[in-house]
This record gives sequence, structure tokens and C-alpha cells, in this order.
Amino acid sequence: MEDIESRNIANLEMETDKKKILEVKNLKTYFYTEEGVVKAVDGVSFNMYEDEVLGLVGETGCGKSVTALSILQLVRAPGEIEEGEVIFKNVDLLTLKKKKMRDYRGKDITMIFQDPLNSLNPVMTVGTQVKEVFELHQREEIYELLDQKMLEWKNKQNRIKELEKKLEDNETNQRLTKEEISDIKNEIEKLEEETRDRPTYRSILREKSRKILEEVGIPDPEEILERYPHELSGGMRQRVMISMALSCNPSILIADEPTTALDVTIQAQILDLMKDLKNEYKTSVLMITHDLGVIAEICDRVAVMYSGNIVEYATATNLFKNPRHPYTKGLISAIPTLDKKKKELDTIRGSVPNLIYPPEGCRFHPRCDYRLEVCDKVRPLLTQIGESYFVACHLFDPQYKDSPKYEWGKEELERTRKI
Amino acid sequence: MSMIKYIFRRILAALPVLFGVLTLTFILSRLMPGDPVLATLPERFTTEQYLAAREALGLNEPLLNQYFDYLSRVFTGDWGQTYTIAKGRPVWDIIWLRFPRTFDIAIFSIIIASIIGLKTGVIAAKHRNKFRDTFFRGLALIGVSIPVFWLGLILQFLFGYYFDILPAVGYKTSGIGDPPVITYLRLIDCFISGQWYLALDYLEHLILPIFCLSFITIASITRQARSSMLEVLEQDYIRTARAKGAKEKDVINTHARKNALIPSVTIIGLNFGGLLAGAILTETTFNLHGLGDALLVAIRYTDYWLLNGIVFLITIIFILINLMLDVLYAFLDPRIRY
Repeated sequence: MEDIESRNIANLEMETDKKKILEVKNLKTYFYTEEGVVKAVDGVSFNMYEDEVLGLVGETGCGKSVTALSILQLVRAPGEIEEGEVIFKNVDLLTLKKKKMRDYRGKDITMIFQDPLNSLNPVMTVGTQVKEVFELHQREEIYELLDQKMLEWKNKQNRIKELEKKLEDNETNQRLTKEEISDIKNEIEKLEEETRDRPTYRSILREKSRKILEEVGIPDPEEILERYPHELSGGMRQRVMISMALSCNPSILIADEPTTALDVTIQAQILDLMKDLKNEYKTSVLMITHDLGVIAEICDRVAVMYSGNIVEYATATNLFKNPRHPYTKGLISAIPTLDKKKKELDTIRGSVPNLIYPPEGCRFHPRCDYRLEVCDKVRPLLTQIGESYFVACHLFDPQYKDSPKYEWGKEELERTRKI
Repeated sequence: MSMIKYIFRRILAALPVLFGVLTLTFILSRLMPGDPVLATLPERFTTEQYLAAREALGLNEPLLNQYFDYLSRVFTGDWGQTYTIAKGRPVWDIIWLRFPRTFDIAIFSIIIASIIGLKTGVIAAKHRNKFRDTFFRGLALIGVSIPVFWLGLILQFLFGYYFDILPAVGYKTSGIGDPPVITYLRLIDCFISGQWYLALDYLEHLILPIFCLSFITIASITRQARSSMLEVLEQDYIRTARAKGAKEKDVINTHARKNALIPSVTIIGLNFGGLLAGAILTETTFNLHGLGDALLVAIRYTDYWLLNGIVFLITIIFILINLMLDVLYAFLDPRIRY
């Protein structure tokens, strides 16, 4: 079993000329609750490439958020990362010491969350929270910048002294013309204006925070820095979250349902902003969502998760054009369309399986219309079935092409319909 | 400005409460068994004496007259006279003498308890279900379960008798004298008049009662601080702080602490109110002659005016403390504005 899995994972390469930036291999995160072990993430593998958006889509409770939190090792007790590898730029993050891992968080890999109100500290001003990221990860850069600015400042001060001396000398020997004198006076005035505030660590920090807020489209950033999160609108709060996530120019931005808590017009604004910023900063984005619309809007590749596993992993274009896995098919056909006027929307029957006692074999088999006899006995693994196309389903496994189709009993169907 | 307006509004809203408390204590004290006249008479007395004393106390008037008479006097600042603790002295005098001592103990206890309780609560939350958590929780459980008079007796036995290093009862060594009364607070009076040995003597006497009271107060503050810290640590913004790469120390100290402080402040305030109202058992155990002790005497000998006066004072204290708490919340939590 282990053997097949590792072989399988090694094959998970997409045909692309882009550089691989993050590799998640066979990640397992379990929660040890009193009722039993919840296998929230059970052997998830995927790759992320430079300057691309990977969508991680699935219904509530399928483990997509836990996957994201596991990458940053922010899973809370009683959750624990059981096994797997998270390889970022040739370093397995899961083997790092806590202190070393902290350097990656907020700097190389950053994260924004679903509910921007609860994700910002209510008793700290926006400014304090934005500045914190710079202070955590860019202290040295700020001091370097400070030295540089100090040097400039001193040079300008010296220049003022020089000019003043010139004027003084002029009083005795009267060598300058009137125009020259007024030029010098103007220059002194200009320099004095520029050197009025001596550059400090705080002023640079403030300037940086102001700039990053401007970058995410916040009007009047000076004012917003002094505000508390509850004084901002939902869209503004999410912009502040995004500004914090982008402030250190990260390689990867994990966005955990960033638009779910916002209303539709703001959703579109935030998505546009993320698209723009992604192109500007060349940041790879892991977009976690249950909204296929968001995926279609922004993602280059998609991984569909079901019950702690990735069941389909392909480029977004291919996936929407021709979904293979019965679950993905069900999801896509459940999207309401305007042209087909039907009384009832398509649904996937049954409900999400219990993650403490997940179904044997393929976890989707109790809800699957295409179920084979083998489906409740052998667990399917992600296998390549086309160019950049991976699916975990026995329907596409040549090994089981002779397996007979499972005959659903009437009672069984009735039972799942009722749920 | 809105804050001053708010405070003013709150004080106005407190007036019906004060009125209600006055009425209720008046009724309850009259329903209490016991005859206040007996306390004013010598051991042997004649019927004439008794009737005269009763007349002198104004108890022959109709009850409703007595009630309105009392109400009008209270709001003009005359809280009546006591006839038990010091015969014929105004209740105000007794309060001025007794309350400062209670205040001293209360303020020391609450400061010590807040510092230690908040610290241990945070430590316990940080090391949830580890040794330190279990240890402090155990200690806190003992603290809230121990009867305070029992703890007082044990302390008296250990430090006052067995080791004999601290005075067991009273607030001063007998015959040592008093500082001139300036602020009514003995400690400050001692300092002002430069009588250091008196201050030292006073503090020495306060150690055991303060230890006793702060121990039980620490317990309840620890429990509250721990649970609110644990709740805050579950919040999304703590996850954000960690996702930023903040150190665990900074997560607790800068991101969690201020949020966790808000519920703890409530507990501290209510405990402070309780301590100011006079810790009857502790004051009796250590024979401190504080407000709680006066209250006990007033109840035992049905001293109407003293009893009503002290209860009224306690009501005012609680109203003021609640007001202080609400103002404090606004400083701690920017979401609260009045």
C-alpha cells in the first residue's frame, strides 16, 4: 500500500515550464477527540508552481482549511500532523524547529482568513497590526533604510550650512548677484522643508505601512492606520488582512475562503484586487473555497477535495470542460444556470461522511451513481489519466475496467435520498 | 465629553436603587427579632425607664412616620445615632472610624491578589493541562473552598503562636498610641506625622488578614483569568498573529492579554467591592474593628440606624465600583463607547 502511494505521488507532476515552489506530499492531519480520531486530512498531495493560483475546492468539512493550516503548522490542539512532507524551496517545513518555522510564517508563506472581523485583533489599531509584520520580518531592512535616510538627511543639513556660510561671506565681499542670492535662499528653504523631520525607525515603519495600505486600495491610509478594526467595513478589513499578508512580498499566499464572509459586490472587488496583486507581486496563491465561481474566476489549477482526500487535480480549463470524477461532475452540475429552467437543482444525494469512521474504499462510494463493485473495497489513488490531469477514481483505472457496475438497491437509494 | 455625560446619567440611574435599598433595609431591620431598646438600658431597669428609653429613640411614632423621617434625614446627611458601639454618637462618626481600616485591608488585598491572580491565571492557561496548570488550578480550588475564618485561625496559630513572629489579633500593639487623625487612613497619618514605628506596627498587624483575604481573592481571579485567556487563545485573531510569525510570548503578551483582561477586571471589581463592604469573618477572626465588625454588632443588638447606615454605604460602594468598571471597559476595549 505504502509503496503504491509513494509511487503515485512521485508521478504528480504537471506538464508546465514553471518552477515548482511548494510540494505537499501525503499530508495527514488527525484530530484526537473524545469520540475518536477525526481524519480531517488523510493523505493529501499536490504541487504549487511559481506565479500560479491553485484552487482547493470542496464542501464544508472536507479538510481544505486544515490542509492550509497544516502547511503553516497552525493546526490547533487536539489536531496533529501525523505524517507527510511540506517541501518549500527544498526545505521540508515539517522537520523545522518552531523558531525556524516562525521565520517562514508571515514572510515567505502568508495567510488570510475567512472572517476579517474576527481575524483582526479588536483592541489593537490597524496601524499596530500592520506594523507588526514589518517589525517581525524586516527589522534589518528598516535599519538599513534608516541609515541610508540618515545619511541623506545629514548631507542635506551640511548643504544648508554650506549655503548659509556662502551668504555670510557675501555680506563682507559682496561678490554674488541678487539673483544668485535669491537662488541660494530658495534652495535653503527647500532643503529645510525636506529635513524638517529627522528620519526615525518609527517614521520609516509608518511610511511602509502607509504604502502597503495604499497598495491594496485603501483610501486615506494615514487615517485608517489609527482606526480600530470594528470601525472599518468588511471589504476594508479584508484589504487590511491582504496588506499584512503581502507586506513582506511572500512566495505563497494562502487565502482561506477570503470572500465567503463578504457580500457579492465586495467579493468581486476583493477577487480583482487579489488578481492584480498576484500579477504585481508574482506571488503564488493557494485559493481555498467552496465556490466554483471563484475558482473559475481566478485559478490556474484546481484540486478537488472530498472527505480528506484530493479526488481530482487538473488545470482549471480542463476540469470545467470535462470533469471526470463523479463528485466533481455532481458539483459542477449543481451550479444553477440561467438558460436551463428546471424546477429543482441537481444535488449530490446523501451527505458528507463521518470523518471518524469514513467509508471503506473510495470515500465517495455511498453517494456515487457510477459505483463499481470494487469501490467499497479498494481505495483509489490519484493517477494520471491525461496531460496534467489526475483523478482518484476506479472508473479510470484500467485495472478495474472489467469490474461490474454496482446495482443500487431501491431501499438504499431511498435512504440516501431522504438525507 | 460623552463619557462625563454617561457618568452623570449613571449616577442619576443609581438614585432609584439607593431609594429601594433604603426602603428594603428599613423594612427588614424592623422585621428583625430583638428589641433595640434593651441595648440602651442597664442590666436592671424599671418599666418607666423602658418606656422613656423607647420614647427617646422615637420608636413610639407610627412606622410610616419613622420611615419618612429617616428618609428625609438620610438625604440631608444625618444618618442617625448609634446606641450600641458608642452611645449617642452619629453613625457617620462610626463609619469614619471603621471604614478606613477596612479600606486599608481591602486595597492591599486587591492589589496583591490582582497582580498574583492575573499572572498565575495566564501561566495556567499557557501551560494548559500541564503541571503548572494543574498546580495553580488545584491551589485556586483550595482557595475558593477554604472557609476564610478557618484559614485565619490556622494562620493565627502558626504565625502568632507556634512560630510567634507576627501579632495574631488587633490592628496595633496595645498602648503604642495613635498618630494624629488627619486623613483617617492610619497608615498615611503615620507617614505624615513621621511616626514610622507606628506604621510598621500597623503593617505588621495587617499581614495575616491581608494574606488571608488575598489568598481567597487570588483564587477567584486566577480561575477567571485562566478561563478568559483560554477563550481568547481560541480566537481567530490569535491565529492571525501566529500566522504572521509572532513569537508565542508576544502572542500572549500583546495580542491576547488585553482581550483577556476585560472579564478579569469584572471579577477584580466585584471582589474589591466585597472587600470594601467589610470582610465580616476575617475582621472578627483578627479582631480588627473594621466596618464588617461594626455591621455584626449592629445586627446582633438590632442597632437600626447603624445597620441601615452601613448597608447604605455598602450600596453606594457597589454602585461606584460598577461605574468604575464600566468606565474601565471603555479604556480596555475600543469597541465600547458611551
